[in-house]
Amino acid sequence: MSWWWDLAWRSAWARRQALVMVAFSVAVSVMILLGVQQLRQDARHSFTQALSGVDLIVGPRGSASELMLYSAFQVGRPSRNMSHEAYAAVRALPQVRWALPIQLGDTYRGAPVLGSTRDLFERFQTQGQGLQWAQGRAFADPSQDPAGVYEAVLGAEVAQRHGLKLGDRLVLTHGRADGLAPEHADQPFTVVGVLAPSGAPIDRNVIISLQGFEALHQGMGMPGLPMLGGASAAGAATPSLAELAAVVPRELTAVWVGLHARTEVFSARSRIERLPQDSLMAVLPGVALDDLWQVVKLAENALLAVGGLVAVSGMLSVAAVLMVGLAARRKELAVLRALGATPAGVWGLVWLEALGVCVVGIVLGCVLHQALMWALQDLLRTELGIALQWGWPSAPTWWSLAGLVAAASLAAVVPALRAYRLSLIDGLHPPAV
Amino acid sequence: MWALRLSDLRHRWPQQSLGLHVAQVQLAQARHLFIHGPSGCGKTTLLSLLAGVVPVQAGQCEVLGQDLAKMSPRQRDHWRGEHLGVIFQQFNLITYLDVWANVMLPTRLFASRAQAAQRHWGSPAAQAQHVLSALGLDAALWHQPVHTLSVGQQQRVAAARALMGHPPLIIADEPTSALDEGHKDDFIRLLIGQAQAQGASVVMVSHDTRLATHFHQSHGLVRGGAV
Repeated sequence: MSWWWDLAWRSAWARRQALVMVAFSVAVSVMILLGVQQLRQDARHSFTQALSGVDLIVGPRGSASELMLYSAFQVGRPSRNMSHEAYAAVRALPQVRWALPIQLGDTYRGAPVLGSTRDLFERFQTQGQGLQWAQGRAFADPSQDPAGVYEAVLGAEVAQRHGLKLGDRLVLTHGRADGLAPEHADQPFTVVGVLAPSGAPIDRNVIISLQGFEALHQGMGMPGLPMLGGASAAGAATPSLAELAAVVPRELTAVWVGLHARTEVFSARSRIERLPQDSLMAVLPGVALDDLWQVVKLAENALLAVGGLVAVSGMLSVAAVLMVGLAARRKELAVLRALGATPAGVWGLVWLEALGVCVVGIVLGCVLHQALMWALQDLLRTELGIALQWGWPSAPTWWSLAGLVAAASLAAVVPALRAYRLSLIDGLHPPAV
Repeated sequence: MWALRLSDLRHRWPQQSLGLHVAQVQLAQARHLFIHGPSGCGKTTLLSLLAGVVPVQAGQCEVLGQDLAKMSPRQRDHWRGEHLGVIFQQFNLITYLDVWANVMLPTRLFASRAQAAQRHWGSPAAQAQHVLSALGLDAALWHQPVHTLSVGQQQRVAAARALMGHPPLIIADEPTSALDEGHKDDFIRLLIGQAQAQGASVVMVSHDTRLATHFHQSHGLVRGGAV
């Protein structure tokens, strides 16, 4: 019997140009499906891991997703702030290992300005990795070195987009609107460090100290502090420690909290939410993001459905190409019948060929998908903040591969049935074309 | 042993008023039968019945001692592969195989034919060499792609393939109609000569009654009528 398969292989090989083309069309469609599926999984994973070191996000009581969105992703704006005393109380709780104050609201040419402390650069983690420096250093702690007030650190994307380097001066804008808002023109900040790309929203931030942030606001319209960081590049006057005492921040946007033990997350949350200093809310980032993810699920599923349909259309193109090819193969099929092939055997030959082309396309699609993901991994990480997960395909991917093979074996039935019918009609006498 | 025993064999295609009717034909093994008649008289249908491709509707159709009416389509297909050589009018060869691979096909696909070739010639390849040479196909052609051969050469390759593995019956449907006048007699002489040497019967249909002289028996089909 083995020579029948040999014959099938030689027949397919003789028509390899068309079959290779159609296998490629299957490969591209499979690549799209697998790509959509992987991006969906990894986007979700990356999104939940964007703040991987933070156990709790603390902010004024309100909507958990809102707090999550503006404090972690700088989407939307806070309706109100929390008090600085409450931050001090949170930091003093026994479960809390560290607490990072977060101050938002200003922008530099559209890039959100993030006010925090030097600890941010140590504590912040995204996708389980800490921040890396591309150049320079963190701003100095203004409570020890007043020069730190007007020092700024840039996220990778900000530095790249605006062509900024160490020593450049920035003029920060009050509020969010670009260009329309009054500029803090008298208080230029100096770039002292640039972060390496991390894929997190911090790539799009200008990071300054809390005191710097506060000085921006107090300096504006407050004649008492005009000399705070002179405008002239040559002799920028640094404020004295005494002057800095006047710029202690009173309000914060949020606080990121790391705990001694993750198991304490619920007890810490209830302690924070019962603090007398302010009416606070503590959010588990993972839980809040899961809630958010439910919202985008619809779009996500629509994308997946499109991917599936593209894959099915690839299979149908195999069926179509083989159907068209059968017209030219009628003589060949009649010879095979004369040599003793059954119509069922002819069915099997055509079915196996169609399935084989699809399977080759599917395997090729997997390879193309891996190659494409490998080529795009840096871009995805820096532009979209999606960290790809490598390794064996996940369970859903195996399922979709199994589904593709099942779809292929169904699609292969179409030309196989046609061949079966033709071999019955033609018998030993194909129409002489 | 009879190669063919047909009696009162009838066949009618759907939506066609006229049918095939063969009253009585008997052909002894190693004898050759010529069937002639105008186009549309059912010659091709008769060969399809004999080859077991078309099921028997009515009457007796015994080929090589087998009552085809009692066999399943699948059994008939397998039986055809083991015991019959078939030659068409044209397009006999598989275009993606060379001459040699085309000729070797029956012995590669069916073990019984490979064994028969081995019994008589020592190996299927030995038979292929013999038959190709006997049919006047030069060894230089054996590994050529089939499309480089002339129509006459292609028909002789088809005849060589039909002879492989010593099938007791060779069925030929207008095998000479694509050939030049001068080559028709040569082809039939070669085919019958080789079949005779193997003890096989040849059943051939053609509208060209001149060719009947090469055969032991001759029958005429009339349109919609009887033998």
